[in-house]
Parts: sequence; structure tokens; C-alpha cells
Amino acid sequence: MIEKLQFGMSDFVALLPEIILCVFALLITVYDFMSKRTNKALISYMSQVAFFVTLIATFTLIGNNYTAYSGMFVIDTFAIFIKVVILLVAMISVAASHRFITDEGYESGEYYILIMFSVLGMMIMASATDLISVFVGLELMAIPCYFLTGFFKKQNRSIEGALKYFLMGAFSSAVLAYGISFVYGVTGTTNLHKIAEFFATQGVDINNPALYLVLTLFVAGFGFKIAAVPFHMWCPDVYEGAPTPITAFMSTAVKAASFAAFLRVYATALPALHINWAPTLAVLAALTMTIGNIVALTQSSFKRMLAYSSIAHAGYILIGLVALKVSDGVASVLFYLIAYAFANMGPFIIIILLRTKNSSGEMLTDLHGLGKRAPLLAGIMLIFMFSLTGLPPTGGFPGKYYLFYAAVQSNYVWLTVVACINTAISAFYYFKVGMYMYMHEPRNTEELEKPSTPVLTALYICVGMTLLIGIMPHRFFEAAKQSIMLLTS
Amino acid sequence: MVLEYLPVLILMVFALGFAVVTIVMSDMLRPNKPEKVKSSTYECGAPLFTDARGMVSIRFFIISMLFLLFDIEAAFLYPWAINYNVLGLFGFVEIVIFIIILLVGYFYAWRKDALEWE
Repeated sequence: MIEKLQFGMSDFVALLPEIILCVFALLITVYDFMSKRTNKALISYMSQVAFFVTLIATFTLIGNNYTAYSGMFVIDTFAIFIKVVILLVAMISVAASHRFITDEGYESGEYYILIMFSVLGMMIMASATDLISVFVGLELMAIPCYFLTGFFKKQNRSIEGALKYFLMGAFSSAVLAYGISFVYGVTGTTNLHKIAEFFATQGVDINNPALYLVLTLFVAGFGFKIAAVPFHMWCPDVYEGAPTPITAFMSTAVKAASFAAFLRVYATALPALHINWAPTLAVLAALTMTIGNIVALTQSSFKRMLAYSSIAHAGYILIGLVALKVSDGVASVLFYLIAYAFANMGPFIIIILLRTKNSSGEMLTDLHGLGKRAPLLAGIMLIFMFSLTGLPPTGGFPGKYYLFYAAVQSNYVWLTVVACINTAISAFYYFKVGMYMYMHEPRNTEELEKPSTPVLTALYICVGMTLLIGIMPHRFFEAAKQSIMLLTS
Repeated sequence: MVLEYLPVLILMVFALGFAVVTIVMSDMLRPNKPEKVKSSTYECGAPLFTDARGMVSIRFFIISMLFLLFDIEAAFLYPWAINYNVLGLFGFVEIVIFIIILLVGYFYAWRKDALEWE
């Protein structure tokens, strides 16, 4: 028996930003293949326009709270918050891309089109209230990322990264799908609200082994996507091999979208099982930040060091998931995501700017004497390093403060202690960057290329936002707090 | 309830035991006199002429990927066609959008010479 499908104007409106982005992406695809010699710079600008229009459409939906498509898709402030972060990150990565991929000899329209489809998948993930739509969004996000990682198809490490990412990603998706099948087996539904309702009315049968299987498979599936230890092995190779703007994109937007889905599934569907999964996630968080930070200490490649640092940051964010039950737990995750997104995009943009004829700009030695070669870039880099360490007046400080406070409130004092020790460890390698920039003589005295306007704009937005979040954290935290009101209720 | 599966377990034990016992026993009992022809790979009695792990044109891969995509498109049309009366205009519009999106992909493959076989 098939339920009569209802489709009204409200469904259409809820999906409007996604529809706009999809139509733009398809039109740009058509434009790209219409002639063999299309203007790729124009495609880059068109994709910016697409993201901008989508952003405006997303903003106009603020204040709406309803589910659409028979409970598959929700429009609420949480989704809008995540979507805005993702779209901003996508715009910054595209702005940093054009000159870079042209110089490397891989100028093509597909690059931008793939980013657009990946963003489309992330937006669906942010709004998904059904495990099936979470899964569809996840795949739509991940598959373009596999291609983008291997975009420099004549570089072995790019191919290596892409293959690793693809195999690991496909495997983790299968694990997640397997977990979803067990949820359906236990509760008879894939809708997040109905799952929560099932546990609320039927109670949690703690002797049911299928529940533990579900929790294990979910942690493994989502753990792969956010690169939590011990599911992080793909991360350094992929982040190092991928084109630098794509690394920036993946380490922020993909992470934000994955955390959004992770949060929504755990906060909406499984709060009744909190006592069962919170200790696992706490151990995972402690392992993730410790291993991420300690391995980052020994890296000689700056890009690889940032990859390990992003693993460590995933560990910090996991603290917020553990502290889901306290009032500001989820809000602190959102706050940290936005502060981390801008602070982590920045160093990658600087790597792009440091690229010269004879060096890739990716090694720590390329930073030697940057304070003399390019004082402005060095100063900006220092601000990003401050934020990633968690020092005021940058966004990283209130971000860490809210997260750690939420952990203390939910009686995970040991986790807070581990996190504080880790912050101290991370300061060592973040400050090493500062030492190389100001205390060492330049090794490479080549003149840096004059940066293009879009890249500079992207860099200034990143540094501006990092400082703004640090100076006025309250504003952003209030926005984050308001956006989660309906998530947990 | 678990007991109902006991026959399956017994069958599994027998199947595994039979395979292991026959392989081990035949290995212990038979005379061992390997020679070149005897230990070569057996392929329908005809002598081998190449390694099975040869290189295949990447075109096969592209064609099979495209086949898979459009095959799945066709597979999606069947449930829609069966439920056409229930889904009505909404379903019709949805399926047209679905086909348009795939058509863009088809023309993309065409323009990128993925269908050429030079």
C-alpha cells in the first residue's frame, strides 16, 4: 500500500536554496560543454554567483521551522546556520582556486561544477531528518570530493590520495548503511523523530545487542567522515595529495556538514541512548586530539601538519557531542565549527600564495623568514596560528572555552583536562610556525607572485572573521544557541 | 529459537570437515611427482598464450560505467510507471526532472567524447 504523496508549496520553498544551486550547477555544466573553449574564469565567477544567490535564498528562509517531504527534510535555524557556514567556505575556496589550478595546468570547468554538487550534498545533509536522506546527502557530498582530490591527475600523490579516499569513503558509507539497516530493524523506521519517539515510548532495551551494533557502526561510519582516531588513517594522505584549495574545502566544509549530520542523528534520534554512547565518544575524542596533536609535532610538511591539526580539532569538537545534554553543548559545537572554519581556511590560502616556480610552498622550510619576505602574510599567518591554538583575541579562544565549559558541566572533567593538555601540546607546533617565520633567515629568496584580488579578498575575510569572532564571541554564540532550540526539543 | 538453526550448524560442520578431510587426505596419500606440464595453469586443456592479468583499454571501463548509470535510470522508471496512477502529476514532474538531470550528464559524456571508440 502506497501512501499518497503530498507535495505543496511549502515543500518547494523548503528546498529552494538546494534547487537554485542544482539548477545553476546544471546550467553551468551545459555552458561548459557547449563549446570546447569556454572561458574557465567566467565559470569560476558564475559559481560564485550561484553560491551567493543560494546564500540569499538560505537567508530568506530564516524563521521558518517545518519539515517537508513527508519528514525527510527539515528547514530550521540549525540547518540554516550550517548551510551559511558551508556556502561561505565554498565561496572562499572557489575564490582561492582559479589562479592556483590555472598555474598548475589543470584549468577546467568541472572543478567548479564538482564543488557545487558537493556543496549541494552538504546542504541536504544539514537539513536531513531521515537516515535515508542523510545517506543520500553524504554520498552526494563525498563522491565529488573523491574526484576533486585526484584532480591533479598527473601527480602521483594526488591520485594516491584520491584512491585512498575513495576506498575508505566507500567502505565507511557501507558501514553507515549497515548501521541504518539495524536501526530500521530495531525501530521499524528511518525517520529521526520517529526513532526518538520509539525509544521514548517503548523504552530502551539495554540487553538488545542490535543497539550496540548500531552505535558501533554509526561511530565508525561518522568517525571516518570526520577523521576521528582510529578512523583517521586516510586523512593525512588525502589532505596532502589534494589540490590545496580542495584541502581547505574538505577540512572545513566537509567536516562541518559531517558534524551537522552526526549531531542531528545523535541529538534528535538517539538522546535516549546518551548514557550508552557518550563514554565511547569521550574516549574517541581524547584519543583523536592526543594522536592528532602528537603526530603533528613531527611533520616537516606544513600541509601535512595542518592535516593532523585538523584531526586534533575534530577531537575537540567531539567533546561538544559528548556534552550534548547540557544546555550549551550543541551550541558550542556550532560556535567552534564556525571559528575553526575561518581559522583553518586561512593557512591553506597562504600556502597557495607561497607557491613559487621552484617550491610548492607546502613545506615548513618554505615559511623560513616569511616575516622578512612578506611581513603582511606572516602577520596574518600568526593570527591564524593563534586562533588554532586557542589564544585571545581570536575565534579559537572562546570556541575552546565554550566546549571545555560544556564538558565540565556534564561531569567530564577528565576529558577537559586531556583537552587542556592537548592545547598546550598543540601550541608547540603552532608557535613553531611563528618561530620559523620570524627567527629564521629565508631559505628561498624568490620573489612571491603578486596575489590575485579574489585570493586576497578570501584571505582578508578569513582573518577578519577570525578576529571578529574572537572579539565579539557573544553575538555568534547567541546565534548558535538560538539555532539549536528546536534540535533537541 | 536458536536451536532451530542447529541443522544449519551441523551442515556447516560437515561441509567444512568434508572439504578439509578430502584435501588433507589426498595430499597425504597421493604420490607427489610434479613436472612442468602438470603444474601449469589448467585452462580447458588448451595451452596458455597470455597472462590473464593483461591490460584492457580504459574505454571498456568508461562504457561500462555509462551503462551502469543509464541502466539504473531505466530501473527507476519501472516503479514509477507501475505507480503512475497513485503518484499522478507530482510523480510525472519528478521523473521528468530526474530524466533532465541525467540527460545533462548524457550530453556531457557525449561532448567529452566518452562514447567515441578511436
